[in-house]
Amino acid sequence: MEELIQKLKEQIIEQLNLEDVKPEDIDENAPLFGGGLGLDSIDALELIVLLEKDYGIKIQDSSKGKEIFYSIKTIAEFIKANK
Amino acid sequence: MKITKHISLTNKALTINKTTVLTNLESESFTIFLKSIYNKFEINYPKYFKMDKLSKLGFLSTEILLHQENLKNKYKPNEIAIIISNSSSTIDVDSKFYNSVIDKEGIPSPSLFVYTLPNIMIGEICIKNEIRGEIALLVSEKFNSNLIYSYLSDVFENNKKIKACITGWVEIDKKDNFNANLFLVELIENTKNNYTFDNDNLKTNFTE
Repeated sequence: MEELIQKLKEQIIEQLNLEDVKPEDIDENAPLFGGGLGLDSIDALELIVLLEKDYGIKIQDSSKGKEIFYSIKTIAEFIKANK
Repeated sequence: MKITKHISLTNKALTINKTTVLTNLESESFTIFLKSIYNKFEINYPKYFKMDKLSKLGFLSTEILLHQENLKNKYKPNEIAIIISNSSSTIDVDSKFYNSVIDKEGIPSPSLFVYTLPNIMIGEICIKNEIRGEIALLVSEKFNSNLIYSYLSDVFENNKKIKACITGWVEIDKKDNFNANLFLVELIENTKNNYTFDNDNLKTNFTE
C-alpha cells in the first residue's frame, strides 16, 4: 500500500503539473480538493483518465467520485479494491 | 487615448517601455526563460504551471504590463477590455491534444483540451485580474497595427463603459518562437511619457 501511495503521489505531481511540489509535501490523508494543492475540476478529470489509463479502472458510479478522490489514500484503497 | 505602457517579451529579451529588463543570453528554452521572469517578478500563481504555452506567455506578459499599475483601483472590472491578436492561434496545444488522442489508447487529455481555444488565454488573464469588459482574440498572419487600431477605436467608440484596454500580439509557434507585445491603452488626457494611441505608434513600438 505504501508503495502504491508513493507512486500515486509522483504520478499526480507529473500529470497535474504541480510545480515545486514534492511527494513528501503531500499528506496522503489530506483532502485533494479545496486544500493546499489548488486542484480544480479539470484536475479531477485528469485523475479519472489516470485511473483508466494507468490502472485500467473505470469509475462506473460517478456519485462515488467525491469519496474516491477525497485523498491519495482513498484513491489507493479504491485501486487496491478494484484491480 | 494614450498608450501608457508597452512591454515586449520574445525569445531574446524582455523590454518595458523600450528598456531591456532581461536578456536571454543563454538562449534558454521557453519554459526556463519564462520561469526566470516569473521568479523575478515574484509572481505566486500555481495555476500558471498548468497553462499551455500560449496562456503562459499571455498571462506573464500581462502580469508584467500591469505590474505596479494598480489597475484595479483605477477602473471597475467592466471598464477594462482585452483585445489581442496572433497568427498561430493555439497550434502548440492543438498538436499536443491530437497526440494525446492518438498515442494514448484514444484517451484525450482534459487539461490539454481546455486550452484548444485561443481566447482561453484571455480567460486566464481575466480570472487573475478580475476583468469583465469586452474581449476578443483576432487571428491575422502578422501583427496588423491597423486592425488593432480600428478594432479598438470601435470598442472605445461603441462601448462607453470601456476606459482602458490591454491590447497587442501574443504569438507562439510550433518551434517555440514566441513574441508578446502588449500595450496598455487608457482614455486619458495628455501626460508626459505617453504615446498617442494610433496606428503609427503601435507599429513603431512593436518589437520583433
